[in-house]
Amino acid sequence: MALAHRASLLVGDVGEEAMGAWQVDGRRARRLFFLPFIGAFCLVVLWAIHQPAYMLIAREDSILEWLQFSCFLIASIVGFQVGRRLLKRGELPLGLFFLAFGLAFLFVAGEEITWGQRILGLETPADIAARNVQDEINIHNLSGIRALFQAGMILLALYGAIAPWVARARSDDPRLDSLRPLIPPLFLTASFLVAFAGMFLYTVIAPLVDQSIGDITILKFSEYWEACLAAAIAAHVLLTRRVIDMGRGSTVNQRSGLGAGPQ
Amino acid sequence: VFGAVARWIGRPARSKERDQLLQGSDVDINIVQLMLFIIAVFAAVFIVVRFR
Repeated sequence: MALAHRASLLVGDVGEEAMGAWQVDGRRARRLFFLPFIGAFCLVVLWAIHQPAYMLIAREDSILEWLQFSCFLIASIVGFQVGRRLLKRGELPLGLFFLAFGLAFLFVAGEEITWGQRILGLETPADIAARNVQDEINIHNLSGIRALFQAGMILLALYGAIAPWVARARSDDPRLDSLRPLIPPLFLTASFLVAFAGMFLYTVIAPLVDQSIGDITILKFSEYWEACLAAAIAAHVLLTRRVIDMGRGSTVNQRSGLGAGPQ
Repeated sequence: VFGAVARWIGRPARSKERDQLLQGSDVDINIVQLMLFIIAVFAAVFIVVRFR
């Protein structure tokens, strides 16, 4: 009972923080919080009852992968815009960070579609194919870099899942003020958490269990959690831009509502 | 509309320049992937512009 009560308080926090700091309707925020879990459940059910329909959505080069590309492209474009706005306000470190963020996600978007290789039907040069885990013209699947890239994405997902709750718990800590634009809303933490759980499953657990749990091949679900991560990142920068554009003072001060509610 | 665009993109080569451009290259445009790419870019731009 205590656990259920605690959970309901946390969900209440999600809605309250969304309304206070992000100007997002509380009920909508709570729905968005649960969406990644509902989506995962629906996909598993679809996989169980009709695998061809599932594969249409989740296979490589299909809907979920292109959704990721869209989200990374959004993250890149809006990241540049946020960086520019912050620089105009004289917030140099944060501005430069978001410019670098935009550049990084432009790279990730290009990597996600292997720089148009499959659109143009290009064959992978032999020397790249020899070093690329998936025989593609991209960098993140090159042996050696792949592990680094995966580690980076796992850490990013873990950060997105935990940082907002830590910030919420330490809302009185003035050292966090300057970092507010880097902290996603609470209602996106579920997306980051699903992404982290999936990536952890794929990179740590899958090799130990020969890539499958029972009859289920873990890799078949990888596009979903990658899409969750991409969507959460895109949503965060879109919301950050909106908050800045609302002109409610500095991006630092305007989020002082984080943690205004009961803990 | 997509069918018309796909036919336009996949139309046979009509010019010498185009023949020369593609001659010897291993470019083989995947229409479905190209359509998905265009949709994805439009969706991204739409959201960037509209979400304020």
